[in-house]
Amino acid sequence: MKHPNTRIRIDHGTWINQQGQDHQGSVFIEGDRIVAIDQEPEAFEADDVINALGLRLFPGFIDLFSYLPGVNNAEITRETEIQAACAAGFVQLACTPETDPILDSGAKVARIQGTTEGTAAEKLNIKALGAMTQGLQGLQLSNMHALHHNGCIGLSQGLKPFANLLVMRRAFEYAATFDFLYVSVPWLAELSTEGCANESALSTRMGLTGIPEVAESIAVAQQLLMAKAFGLRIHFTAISCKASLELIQNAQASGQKVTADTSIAHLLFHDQFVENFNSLYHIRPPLRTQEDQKALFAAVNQGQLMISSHHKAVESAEKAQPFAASQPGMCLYDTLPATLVALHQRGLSWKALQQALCTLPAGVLGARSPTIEVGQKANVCLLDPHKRWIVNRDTVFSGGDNHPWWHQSVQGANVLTLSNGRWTHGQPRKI
Amino acid sequence: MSNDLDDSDIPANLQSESDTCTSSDCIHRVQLNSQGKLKHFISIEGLSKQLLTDILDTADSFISTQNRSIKTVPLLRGKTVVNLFFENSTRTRSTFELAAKRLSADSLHLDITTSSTKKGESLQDTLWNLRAMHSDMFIVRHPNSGAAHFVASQVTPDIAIINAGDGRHAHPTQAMLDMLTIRRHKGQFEGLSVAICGDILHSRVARSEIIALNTLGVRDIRVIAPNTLLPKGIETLGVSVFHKMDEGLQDVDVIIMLRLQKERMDSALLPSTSEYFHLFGLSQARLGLAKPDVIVMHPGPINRGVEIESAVADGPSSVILDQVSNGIAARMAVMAMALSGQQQPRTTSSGLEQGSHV
Repeated sequence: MKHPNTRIRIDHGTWINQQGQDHQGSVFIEGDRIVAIDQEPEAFEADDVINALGLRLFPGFIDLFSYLPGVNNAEITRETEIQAACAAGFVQLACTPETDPILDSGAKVARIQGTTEGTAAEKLNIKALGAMTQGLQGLQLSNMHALHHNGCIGLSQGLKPFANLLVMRRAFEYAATFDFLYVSVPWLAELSTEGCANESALSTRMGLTGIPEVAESIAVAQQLLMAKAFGLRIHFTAISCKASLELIQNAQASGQKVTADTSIAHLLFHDQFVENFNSLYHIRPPLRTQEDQKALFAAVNQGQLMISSHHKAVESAEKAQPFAASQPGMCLYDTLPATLVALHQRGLSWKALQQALCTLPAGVLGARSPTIEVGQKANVCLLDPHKRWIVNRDTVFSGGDNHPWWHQSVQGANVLTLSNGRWTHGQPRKI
Repeated sequence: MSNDLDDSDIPANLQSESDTCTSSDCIHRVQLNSQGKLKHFISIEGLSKQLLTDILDTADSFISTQNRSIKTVPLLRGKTVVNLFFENSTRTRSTFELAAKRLSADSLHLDITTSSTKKGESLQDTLWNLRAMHSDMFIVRHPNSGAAHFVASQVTPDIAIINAGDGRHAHPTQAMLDMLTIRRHKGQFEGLSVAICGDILHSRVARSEIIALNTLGVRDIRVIAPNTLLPKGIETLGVSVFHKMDEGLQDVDVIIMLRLQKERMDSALLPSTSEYFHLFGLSQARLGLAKPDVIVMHPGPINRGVEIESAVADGPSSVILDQVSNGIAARMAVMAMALSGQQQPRTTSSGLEQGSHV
C-alpha cells in the first residue's frame, strides 16, 4: 500500500470535463486529492508519472448492484471478486443482501463491508444493501435503522418477493420514515416460476420455460404506485425491457423520485445469445429482445439510465449443466474495460458512459458528482481502449469462469485504478 | 496481467452482435460430422430433407427385417449402448432397448432417478464414469431442455448421443417414427394437411414433428388448442393456429392428438377434463370433418375420454399401434446411422496418423 501522501502525475490523458467536453491534459494528485489540472503546482515532485497518451481517464466507477460471496469457496472468494472490481475501475460498490448469510443484521453487514489491513476489501468502498425483511422472507421488517447505522446505503429484497402487498406497503412506509433508499430488482416470482429465458418464439422453439416481460413490468408498475403513495425513494436495478423503461420514464416525467439502471449484460447481449443453450447467458432477469436492448441503450445514451454490474461469479460445476439447471449469473467485472470499448463502438458516447457509471450512481447515493477536477477525491481509472488481451484464467481476477468472451481476444483494458489516491489496481511506476 | 496480441482478427467484443449462431446452425454443427453425416441425433432442426429421407429409408429397410423369424442384424455387434433415463418412460425406453438388441448391441439401462444423481453426483460426472466403461452410445432422456445438446457438445462429444426427449425441446425419434408412419400410409408428404391437437405448450413431440413436417415438405400444418396450451410465437415455426376443432380438422389427411396431463388442471391452464374433451376431444363426429382416409395418431400413452374417444382410438382410422412398431425401426435407423457417423471421422484421422509414420 502506498503512503497516503504519494504524489502522482498523469500526463496526456483524455477525460470528460465539467462542461461535458473531451479535455486532454495532465492531472496532479497528492494524497487523496486531485491538486491541480494541467498547471504543475510549485515544488511538485511526482513519485509516479504515468504517460496516458491515447488513454481515457474516468473518475472511478460506482456499482449499484453486485453479488459478493458471503461464504468463500475454493476459487470464488470475497477477495477475488473485490480485486476484480478494483481491476475493472470501480472505487465503490453496493452488494445485494441476497448472499450467504443474508444481510439482515448489522453484524452481517459489518462483516461483508469489513476492512482488514492488507486485503482487497480495504481498497474498495463496499456498501451493502440491507435486507428489507428478515431473512428476505418477505414477512417481517428487518431492523432497517440498525442496517443503515452500520453503513448500508439502501435496502433491497434482491429477487425475493414480499409475502403480500400489505408487507410491501408497511416496509415502504417504514423505510420512507427515514428517507431510506429502496433498490428494487423488479421481478414477480409467481410469473417467473421455473422460467430461465425470455418468453418468446425463441423460448418456444428451444423448449425453455419463458419468463414474460410482464413479470418485470407489472412489478415496476406496482412498486412505482406503492412508492409514490408512501413517499419512498426507489431505484430500479437491472431493468431488462422497454416496457419497464417507459413506466419509469413516465413516473419521472410526473415528478416522482425514481431512478433506474440496467445491467452490463442487458446492454451487451439479447435473447438470441441463448440459442446455443449456452448457460453463460442464463441470467436473471433474462436477456430480452434486441428491441429491448436498443431501448435500454438509447436511454443510457440520453443520460436517463445508469449501468450496474450484477456481477456474479458462479462455480464452473454450477454452469456445466443443461441450461435451465445451471446457476444464473455472469462475471462482468474483469471484462468491463472491453465492455466500455464495445459499447462505445456501438455508439455510446464516453460522456454517457461516465454519466451511467459515475455521475448518476453518485447522485443516487447522495454523493458529490465525481469529476476529474481540482479538489475532488483522487478516484481515477485509466482505460486503454486499444490494448488487446485474452480472457482466461491467467488474466482475470474473479474466481468464476463465467465471463463473456472466455478464451477469446478482446480489446480494452484498465491500466490503473486509484481509490482516494491509493493504488487498487495496476503497478506504481517509479521515475 | 494482459497478454498483448498482434493478430489482425477482430477482437470478440468488437464483433457484430449478429454473429450469434442460430439454433439450427449450432445444433447442426454438433450433430453432424465433417462429411455431413449424423454422429448424434439431438434435434430435427438443421437436418436436411435428404437426411430425414435417408433415415426414413433406412427405417423402412429395418421394418422388413422385423417380420423375419430372426429379427436381429449385426450392425452394432460388440457395441455398448447405455440407456440413461433421467425421467420415467415405458414405451420409449422399451423400444430403444429392443432396437439396441435387434442391432446386436450390448445394452444397459440406468434408471438415474434411483441411482447416482440421487446421491448428489452431477450429470457430467455420471457420464464421464460411463464413458470410462467404454460405452459407444448414450440414449438420453432428461427433464431439462438442451440436456442432450449439453452432453453432446460439452460432456462426451466422442460418444453418439441419441436424444430420447429433453424437457419441452425435442423428441426427434418420436417425430421420425411418426413421419415413417405418415409416409407408409400416405406415400408422400407434399400436399398433405396435418393437424396437431392439444397440449402444444408442454410437448417436445409437437415441436419436433412441426420441424420435421416442414422440412419434409408439408405446407399445411395446423395446431389446435386453447391459448393456455399454445406457447408464445408458435406460428413462427410454420404452423397455422386454430382454436376450434371443427375449423382446424376440416379436410385434413393426418390428425396427431397429444396427451393431456391431468396436472394441467391444477396449474390453472384448463378448467376441467370434461370441458377440455367437450371442446378439444377427438370424437367420431369430429373425425367426419377430416378427409375420409384420414389417419389418427397419438404418441401415447392415451387418456381415453380426455383427448380422444375410445371408438376413435380403436377405430379403423387409428394407426396408433403402427406407430409403436415403427418406433423400433426408426430408432434402429438413427442408432445405426449415428454410430456409423461417429466412427467415420475417427477412421479418417487414424488413417492419417498411420500415413504420417510411413
